[in-house]
Amino acid sequence: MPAAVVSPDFVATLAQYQPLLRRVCRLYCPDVDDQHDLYQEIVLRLWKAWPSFEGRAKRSTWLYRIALNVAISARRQRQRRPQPARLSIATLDLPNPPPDPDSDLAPLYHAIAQLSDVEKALIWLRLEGRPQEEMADILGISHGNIRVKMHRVLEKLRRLMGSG
Amino acid sequence: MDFDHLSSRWHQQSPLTIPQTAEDFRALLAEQSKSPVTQMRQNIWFEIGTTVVVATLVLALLYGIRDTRLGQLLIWLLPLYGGIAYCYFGIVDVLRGLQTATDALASHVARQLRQLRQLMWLYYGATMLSTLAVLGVLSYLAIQYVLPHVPRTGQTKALTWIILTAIISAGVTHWFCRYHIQNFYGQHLDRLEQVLQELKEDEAAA
Repeated sequence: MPAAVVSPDFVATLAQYQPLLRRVCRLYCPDVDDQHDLYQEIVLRLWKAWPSFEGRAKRSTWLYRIALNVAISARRQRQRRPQPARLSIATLDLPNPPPDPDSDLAPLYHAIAQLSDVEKALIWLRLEGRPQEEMADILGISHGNIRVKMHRVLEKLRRLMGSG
Repeated sequence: MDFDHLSSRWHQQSPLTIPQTAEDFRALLAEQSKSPVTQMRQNIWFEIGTTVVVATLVLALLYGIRDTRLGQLLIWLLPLYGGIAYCYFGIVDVLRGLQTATDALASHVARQLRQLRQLMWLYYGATMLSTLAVLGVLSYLAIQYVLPHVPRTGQTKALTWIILTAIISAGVTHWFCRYHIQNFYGQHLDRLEQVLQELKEDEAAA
């Protein structure tokens, strides 16, 4: 691909929103390589769509929409890969990896992994603190429907985290 | 479960190594995309190129051997090549459309489903038309140039074999093409259907 022309506005917007892009990638792809591929794909779609952003929607809504659309419609390529043989750090005689600073979020990620794609989207938007009107805009369903679904998925998540 | 606490902890997750500068983003955008759509777009241009080369070679060969029935063969082949070209450019167009993602999720998924189904039919059409063109030319060459060298008593049998081989080859291609498309897109289409259905659920009640 020839060198891409990246406008300062685009860089500033991505720098502002990229932590949330990383979080959506982690939410939809447990595999680290998949997360990188998905992140690259989202950035590519954002970059292609950037010139046509007309400001009709809020910038955050526009960005959440693209990120979610790409994450959900991406074909899962690595799902059918065989699991690698079990190896332990002890067997390899390697130093212990540094502790994961986000290990306290592991139960949440584990519970979310058991949700459907739409439920994941709802929880993601709720965790990101988006208001329900914006969620309705991003998902393309009515405000009332968001309320019903959100109530149900929060109950389900509570159950999953309680049983985990 | 205190969701507000989870939400604030969610925002404090330690970021991975992430690009920050225009240079970093340029490098990221320059990386080869691993998206299946990008790969399909590259493949389809390769297929179009191959088809054009093969078609030109076949026509040049027939012209070179001064085949007297070339005109009749062309009348039969040209609509097939026209159909193949229509399918290929349809595929390019649909693949371009698949890379748009600015709609709301429900309309995006509905459009993707429609486009993917269209893509399946176009791939199927292009494969079957190419197969018919190849089988047609091969059968023609066999009948025109091989059959006359077969002893007169065995000609009917040889002709039957040629026709049967062509029919069986078309049948196998049809079966393989359907199997491949189902295998490649089936699971993905089912997942998108499920997403759309789930989004629409409760819409009337709400």
